[in-house]
Amino acid sequence: MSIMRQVMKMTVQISGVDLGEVYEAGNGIEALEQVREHWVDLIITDLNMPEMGGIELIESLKEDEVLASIPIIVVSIEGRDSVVNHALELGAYTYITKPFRPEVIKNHILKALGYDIQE
Amino acid sequence: MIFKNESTLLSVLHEIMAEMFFIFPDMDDNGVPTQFIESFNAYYCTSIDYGNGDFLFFEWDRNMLNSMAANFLGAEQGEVTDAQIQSMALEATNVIGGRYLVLVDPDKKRSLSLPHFLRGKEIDTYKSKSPIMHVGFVSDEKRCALRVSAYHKR
Repeated sequence: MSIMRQVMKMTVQISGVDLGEVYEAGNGIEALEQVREHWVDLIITDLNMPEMGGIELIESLKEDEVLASIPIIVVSIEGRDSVVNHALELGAYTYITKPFRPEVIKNHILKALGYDIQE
Repeated sequence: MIFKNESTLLSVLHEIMAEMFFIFPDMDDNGVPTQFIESFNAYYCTSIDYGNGDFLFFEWDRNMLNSMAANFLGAEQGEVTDAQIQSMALEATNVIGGRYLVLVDPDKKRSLSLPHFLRGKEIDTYKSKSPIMHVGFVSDEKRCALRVSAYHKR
């Protein structure tokens, strides 16, 4: 497992919310396989991935009637406005730029899941 | 070439290493960043590609990667595995390379490849043609260093 996914997983697990199972994938293709096999409440994705990147993943999810409503959090090094706006226009719920603090990820996760949080 | 901007690259290195991995710049008595090359021991070499033949090339010290991974995971240094150290090298290359691109190419004329390891003759080629920046850091009161090179493939 990549070290970034390990940190993400740990952040989710310590977010204070029982999120149940956390599934992981190394690229967009694997992510689509996972979400078609398991019902998930939230997707956290990078953009820069092999085989299928995050933009293509968001497009595929939004084209799928069943999967389109799953909130997607993009966590990426790509902080340029055009890239961020493109991901949001395609339907990403929010965008977080690396480097990040785990607390930031936690707050975005809770918001995406509909929890009220204090900023 | 887009990345002949050593001061920006140095700022990115200092920012990312401190914010994500809790590895801090090594400064001399006058507040100038050191190079600390005395005991550098490159273990992994990585690169990231910006298109048009432009690359960043990194030489990583294993102990430094170990510290970075331990800090990032919130683990003890002895608990970090080889796989995590390798993943740390790629992830740090990705984050540093991406952050640098954001600053030097805000109009998004360039794209970013996936980070990858370099081996054998590839490394010699990079070393022979690249200007090398030595950057000193401090982790747990121990000094360490990273070497970074800008490279243009003709």
